[in-house]
Amino acid sequence: MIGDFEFDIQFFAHKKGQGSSTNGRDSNPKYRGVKAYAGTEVKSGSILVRQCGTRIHPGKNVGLGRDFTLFALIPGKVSFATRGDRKFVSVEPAV
Amino acid sequence: MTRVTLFWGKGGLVGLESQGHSGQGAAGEDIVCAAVSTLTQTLLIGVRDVAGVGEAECEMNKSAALIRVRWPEAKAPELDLLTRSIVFSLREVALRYAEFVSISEVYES
Repeated sequence: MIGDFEFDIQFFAHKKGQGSSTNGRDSNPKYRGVKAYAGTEVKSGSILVRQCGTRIHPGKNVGLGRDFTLFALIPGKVSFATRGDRKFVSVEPAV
Repeated sequence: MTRVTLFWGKGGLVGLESQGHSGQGAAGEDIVCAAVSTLTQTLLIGVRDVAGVGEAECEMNKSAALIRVRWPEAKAPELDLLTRSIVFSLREVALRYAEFVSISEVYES
């Protein structure tokens, strides 16, 4: 470097702008999923599954809420089963 | 568009100012900028470091894309070979890339 400056062959060039993306948006989390797994002892009214649509269907002693939430109708133990291509969650009454 | 201003005194060139992005390409690919940058900085190095004109005033402002250099009129004749070479080259560049480089000349009495 001659003198006290840095020779820049692109001194008069537009600096490369920082790329920008049109991504970066996301909706709020909905915290869906199974809340009580198989073999769990639950009380009546306990929420078993939060879901969008009936990914899992209500079985014995399980109610379906208006937002497709599955909840226990009686106290007991949670069990999951598959019949055909459908999943069911049931609550076996506590002995 | 890079604007080059040449300042002429009686004895020859007494200053040069280059300002503005040439806009011919992005950084690293702008050939017009490379030519003007090189010629302008060669003039600065020649005046100050090779010819040793200590009184030369130099200003470099990267964010404003500005290089300005001036020297006393008394030094103009001894710098003439260097300064005219740079000026002729700048004119050639401006001739071929008129869209990106413009030259104006100021004659100081």
